Amino acid sequence: MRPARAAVRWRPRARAGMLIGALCGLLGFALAVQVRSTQGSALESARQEDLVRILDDLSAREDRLRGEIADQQSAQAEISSGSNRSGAALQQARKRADELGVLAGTVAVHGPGVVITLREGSQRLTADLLLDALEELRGAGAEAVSFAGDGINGRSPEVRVGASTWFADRGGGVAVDGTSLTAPYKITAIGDGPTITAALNIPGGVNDTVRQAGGSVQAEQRGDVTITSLRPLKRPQYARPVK
Amino acid sequence: MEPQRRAASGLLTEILEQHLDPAYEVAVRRRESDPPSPRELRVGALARSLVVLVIGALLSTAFTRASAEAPEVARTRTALAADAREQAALTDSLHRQAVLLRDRLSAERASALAGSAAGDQAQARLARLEVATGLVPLGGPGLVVTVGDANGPPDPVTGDAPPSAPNDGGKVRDRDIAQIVNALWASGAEAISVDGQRLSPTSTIRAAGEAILVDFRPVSSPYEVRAIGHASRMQAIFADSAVARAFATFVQLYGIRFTVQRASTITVPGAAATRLRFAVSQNGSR
Amino acid sequence: MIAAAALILGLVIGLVLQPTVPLALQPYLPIAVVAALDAVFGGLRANLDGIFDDRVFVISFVSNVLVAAMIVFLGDQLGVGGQLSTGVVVVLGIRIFGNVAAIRRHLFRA
Repeated sequence: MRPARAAVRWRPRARAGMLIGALCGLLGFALAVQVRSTQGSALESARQEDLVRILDDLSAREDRLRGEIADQQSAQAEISSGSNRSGAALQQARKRADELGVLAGTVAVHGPGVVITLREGSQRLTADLLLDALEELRGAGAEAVSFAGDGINGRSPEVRVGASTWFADRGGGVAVDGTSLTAPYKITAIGDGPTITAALNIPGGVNDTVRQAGGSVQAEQRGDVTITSLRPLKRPQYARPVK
Repeated sequence: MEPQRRAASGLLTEILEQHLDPAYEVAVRRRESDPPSPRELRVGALARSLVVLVIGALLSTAFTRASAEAPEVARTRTALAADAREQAALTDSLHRQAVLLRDRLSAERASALAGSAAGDQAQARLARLEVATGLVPLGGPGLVVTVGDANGPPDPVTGDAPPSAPNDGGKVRDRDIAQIVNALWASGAEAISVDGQRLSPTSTIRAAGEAILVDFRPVSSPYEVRAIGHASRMQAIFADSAVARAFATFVQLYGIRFTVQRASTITVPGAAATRLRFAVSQNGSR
Repeated sequence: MIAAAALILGLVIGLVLQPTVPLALQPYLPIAVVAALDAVFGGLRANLDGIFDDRVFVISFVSNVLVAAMIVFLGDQLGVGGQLSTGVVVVLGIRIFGNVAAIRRHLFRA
């Protein structure tokens, strides 16, 4: 039962066409904008203030890398120039080995820095806390660090920090690279004293956390501190150099 | 079962063929039998105009909202993100250049030192220290630990699950990564890299707000931590560690992604060297 | 036509006033747009077919938007929000296609 339909003839057919065209255009536009607004990437989802800090850090990284490249180029120039090539190379190798020895912990080291004493209060100072402290020190540019504390038999072992230094809760204290230590902990860090001290004092940093655990922090900037403890130089057994 | 089949095909044919609301046909028949009064016509026209007005406002609101997704601030933020990407790419290429120069320098130095006992000794000591300080790319068996932010709630329109987590529990922090790295060292790892950044004695794992940076380079979720060492032994000790057990519960509680896999060959790149500005070896030469 | 004027007026109002959509409703805005377009094209086709009715137009618009948003919201709660909203968009899209095709037949043939 289809009623007879009188097809409506729109005199202003152009107007209807325009209207439909405009609607379709708007639909397409809205869709396109919608699609565009749902795309993104990892960095794009970061907040603006984070991006500013990321850019700061990246430019520090750039400076450091450019410095290294400059060092390499001048060292290259030293041993490329004719006369005492082997002598210059020997001197360079020894100097370089000394620097790397400081970083690897195989040579004793001294320089300006900070000596930090962490005393326990009501709560234990945990391995996580000491790990945080080390990360903060590294972030502040510490070049050599050592952890000391009370050990067994009345000794005070000192552990030199390297890349693979690890912390674990053990007994009433913390094991640093396997060596058991108990509070009070003495951390010696060689680097820029003011920067290190400031890093420890940031809200939520080591000072805050230790105080919240009922302990106390004492940080002393010094013009020259010495770290004599060493790390054994172990050749890796499973990792091999690759090109 | 004729009526059933007709009903089922009716649904699909209705979707595919019946595009116009059947209420219009019904309304026409009703109007023929019971013509509307002028008042009803006026009200109808008013309602129709109002609805069209609302539709227009709806369309333009959707449009402005979609384009306002990127207001001035976000456009600046997009520019900043583009800057950060460029800068990261630049530092990566500088790193590659530094490694290349270092290799070339090592080779020249080795050739200049060859022949003399002192030279060989110095060269050997230097090579061992370069390995010990993470400057040399290494390969071997080990573990790959992948940890990632929990997925946020899915977008109701597109169904996508964005990786950013709205709640604190679902976000991986720099401390988490540092603790995982700590547990891997304790498990006997010989070399570790985080998202392609090798960890050296001075490597930093820090946070800039919500973003994590390793050695001042931003890294993003999911974070891949590679550790070279005795794979099965490391896996056993690592699985027993406090942080691994904590993360296993976080998977249930917050939806954090956490996997530990053994691999027979992993490679880690070399780190960038650090110049010493304060520390001096006791030998006196720096 | 009054309807065209009303549409343009609505667009202008939306662009000028820039009403802030409440945060809870923002994810449902795109689906509401699609549902609204379905009602609009349905109305246009009914007009060309000669069977346009104001009441049906208004009610179909309101019910389309509400039902579409409700289905998506329900699916979101059940965890199948993406799939249900895809289904809604598919059905509405088919109807829009069909109505536009009928409108095209009217405009360019007869």
